[in-house]
Amino acid sequence: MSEGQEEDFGITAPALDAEALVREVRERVRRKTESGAYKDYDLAGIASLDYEEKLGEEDFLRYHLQVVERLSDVNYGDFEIVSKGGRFGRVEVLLKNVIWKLLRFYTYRLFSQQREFDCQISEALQSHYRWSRGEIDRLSREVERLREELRRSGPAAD
Amino acid sequence: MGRPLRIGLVSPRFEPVTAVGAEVQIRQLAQRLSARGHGVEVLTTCVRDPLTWKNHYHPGRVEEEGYAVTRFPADPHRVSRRFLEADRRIRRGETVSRGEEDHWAAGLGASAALVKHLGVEGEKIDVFIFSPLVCGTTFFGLPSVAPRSLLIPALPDAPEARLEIVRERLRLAPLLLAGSETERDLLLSAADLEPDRVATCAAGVDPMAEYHPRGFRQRHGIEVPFLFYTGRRSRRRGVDRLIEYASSAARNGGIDLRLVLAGEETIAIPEHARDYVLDLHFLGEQDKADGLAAALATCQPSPTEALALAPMESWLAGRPVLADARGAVTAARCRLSGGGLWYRDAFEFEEAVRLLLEDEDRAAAMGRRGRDFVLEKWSWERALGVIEEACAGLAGGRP
Repeated sequence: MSEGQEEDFGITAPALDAEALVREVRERVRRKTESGAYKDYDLAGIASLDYEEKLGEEDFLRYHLQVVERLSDVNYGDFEIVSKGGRFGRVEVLLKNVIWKLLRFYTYRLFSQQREFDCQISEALQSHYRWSRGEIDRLSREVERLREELRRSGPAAD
Repeated sequence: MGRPLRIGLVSPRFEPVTAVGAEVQIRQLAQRLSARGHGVEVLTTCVRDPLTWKNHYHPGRVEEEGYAVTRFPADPHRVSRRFLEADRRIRRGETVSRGEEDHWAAGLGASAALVKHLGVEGEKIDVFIFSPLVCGTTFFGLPSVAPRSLLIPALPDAPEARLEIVRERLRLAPLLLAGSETERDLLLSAADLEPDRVATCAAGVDPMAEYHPRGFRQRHGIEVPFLFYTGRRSRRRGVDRLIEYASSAARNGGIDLRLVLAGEETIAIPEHARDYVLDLHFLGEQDKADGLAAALATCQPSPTEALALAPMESWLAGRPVLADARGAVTAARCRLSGGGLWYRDAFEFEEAVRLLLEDEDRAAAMGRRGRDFVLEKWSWERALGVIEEACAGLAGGRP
């Protein structure tokens, strides 16, 4: 950790040695570990995090589910048709409005059905993810609990 | 200040409210450089949502508080199977071909209209400032105006930093501004640059006029001590780990504690952590500042950082910082200033929280030390001095 140019600065607040405080934190953790203070901790959530980090796939799944959720609600309603200027600007807008109204007559039913389907699929994917996430959490805790039971039942259990 | 310059700020998005460091910085630069008499024009896309990269705003030019914002449509048909495959492989740190890199870069919010504008109208601008590096507007905009460009890469130490296209763009810009010494080291080594090509002072932070910690607690109904996190909420930023550590400190350690989250994107909060986490989504600037001042400490859980603005804002609010030891920027600043603690695992996190709770005077003193550090090294006044000098040098003899 080098912050070369940042090292030279003046501080008026009372002196504090952050490194000494971090050493104290680590010493407290060491003492508590030795005394068994953490043995009843439920660390399944953190354990599953380590496991997921090795897998790395859930990052992508979460990201793409978010994107799908936002993309599924396609806006096929009216939008403002504006002119890019020029001599025929107003005629261009008029013509585009007529074309859009004609198109909308033919495409509305198709688009609305497609959007309904997309939204349902997106919702199904989201709820499937939430369900499986919950199940993984529950099973991770169960595995951690069973491991703990095995550890307590004898030295050879692990 | 020297003569007023015409400065173009090029950014993929320009949002009134954002928690993304590089975007906050571009908005701040626009406001502050225009207030110092420069003619500032922000060149950006019509995109609002960084997940979908869909055009939301109308293209065209609007005037805002002393500067102009010109929006260009982002290119359609951004996402293809090839892009997704390249994105996945790059984020995993796998080696990809140069063709795959190009395909990937084109999918990161590029705008052909913006690039064309730079080529046609670019001569009217003295200096361009591009930020961040990993986005389509910089990848494709920078080459056309590179000799007059200042690049603020905001590049974390992530797999992208080792791509050939990234190295090329780093070499193209005559001058780079890093957000920290750690980022400077990364930039120098990634592109094998001469040391005088990279300066360290890409951003500044200034204190708010006032902070209302009690008001924050009342508005959001928080009575117990809480840790605060503001910024992008993703696994890559270590937020899922922070949620687990904080909820473990409360659930297993018996500490009466909450974790308050604010910022962009969402992250699934596990069932067992829900009682200990309060998700406030987006907060306005004053509300965020009040939250920083009301918190026991602000957390920086990200193992990859470039600017790391939130911890500095926390120090300005007079509160300490709790940083993941893997995040080299903030952990180093905590060590240097005495303004915070760093942790390696859930147990150290819990004990660090206890240490802060035990002695409020000490926690406040840590905050004050951090504040002194930021005011002296990271004020906007200082950052703008560096940036103006760099811009003047790049503009050279232009009329």
